[in-house]
Amino acid sequence: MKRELDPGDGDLLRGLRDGDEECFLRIYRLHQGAVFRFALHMMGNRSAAEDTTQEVFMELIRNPARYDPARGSLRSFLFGVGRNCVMRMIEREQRWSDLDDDGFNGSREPRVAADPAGDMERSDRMERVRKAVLTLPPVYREAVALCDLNEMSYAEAAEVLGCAVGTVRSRLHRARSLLAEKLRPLRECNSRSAPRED
Amino acid sequence: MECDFFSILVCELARGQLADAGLKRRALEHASQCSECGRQLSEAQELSASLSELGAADSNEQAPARVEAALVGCVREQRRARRAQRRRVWLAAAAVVAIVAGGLAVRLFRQSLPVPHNSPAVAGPSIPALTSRSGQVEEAQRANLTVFQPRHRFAAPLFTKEGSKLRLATAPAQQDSGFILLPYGEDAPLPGGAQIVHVAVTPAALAMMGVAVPDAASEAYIEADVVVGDDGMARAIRLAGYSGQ
Repeated sequence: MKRELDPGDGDLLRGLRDGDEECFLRIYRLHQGAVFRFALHMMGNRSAAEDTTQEVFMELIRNPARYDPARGSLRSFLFGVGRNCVMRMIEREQRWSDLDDDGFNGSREPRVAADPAGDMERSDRMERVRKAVLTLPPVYREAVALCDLNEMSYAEAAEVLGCAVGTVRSRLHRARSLLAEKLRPLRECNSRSAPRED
Repeated sequence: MECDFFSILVCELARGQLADAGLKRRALEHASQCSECGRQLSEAQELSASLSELGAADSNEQAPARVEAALVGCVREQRRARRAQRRRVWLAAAAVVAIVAGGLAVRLFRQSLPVPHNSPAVAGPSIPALTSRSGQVEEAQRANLTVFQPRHRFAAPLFTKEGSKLRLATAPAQQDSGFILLPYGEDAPLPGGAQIVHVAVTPAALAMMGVAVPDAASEAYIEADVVVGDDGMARAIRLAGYSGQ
């Protein structure tokens, strides 16, 4: 099926091909956040996410013609390039580096807590979920990162991953089962420590 | 609804993606009746909530400004490189056009020149002294035979062709035309053709060329047609008469 290029994306890409800085900035500002977050969720490391974002847009600058509107949206293309970068990095680093949380905890700006206890508990819970996501095998992790954390539809995620919608659905199902398993002790602990109502 | 079927649907159900309202109602009914499936649903819903919370918490995450700055620098660099490349292409194209135009101009100029008399200003030692009709006498070594306008441009029967080279024809043809081969010019080929030059020479000069002249000391001029190769060497001569002194 032939897909029409979004008129906005089309103009911006033409501008980018001609070296128009303004066009590039508009594309970048529109998509960089999502790409950065996806890389962050996949690797749990801010500096790696930064590198990935830079690499994705460098690819677009160097070779804008690589994007084929017939194969999907510009957003999907950028995510696809980002996904390839991430997978390469994960493969490279998997052998010798363990997960660490310096990327998230170390560089986060402190938040002002309205409810310090509740905020701490929520923060602790999110960190556990984040870590659980990061321990998933990459193919399951990307399904969660795209569909649950970046709120992509199955069809869009399938475009990014280059697979069938059914594959995305089954990977997400499997990923969520694994996550539920990993988070079960936390859930049980929470339910035990919750005050009884009687 | 079977528990197995429910476990297939539980993910979609917890994510709020189950579009079929009837199926959703039956799944929820099953979850309320089956404790294990109810636990599964509750766990999946909690997970969805946690992931949504995480997604929302990170929704403001952005690449730092230095990434944007680096990329903008790259766009500028790319633009500069493209312009330079375009300039190089234009320069190369202009150079090619200039070379082609120059070549054509030279070719046209050469074609516009009269029949070549481009032999160097050396008549060779073969003709010691030549005098034009107007009476100019020049030393043979300095004489440029091309100062004389050729009367004829010819080939056969005075010449024969051997391969790509011309050679003076043998005796009968010469006799017919009245030309006498000069002794040193017999075997010399004519690589670029030849021309006939009308000259006036002294008998002494003719004698030096090997032509038998009865009165070598005479002051009179003998008019002659000389076959001169494009290399400037005289090959044959035809006596045309005396011009008075």
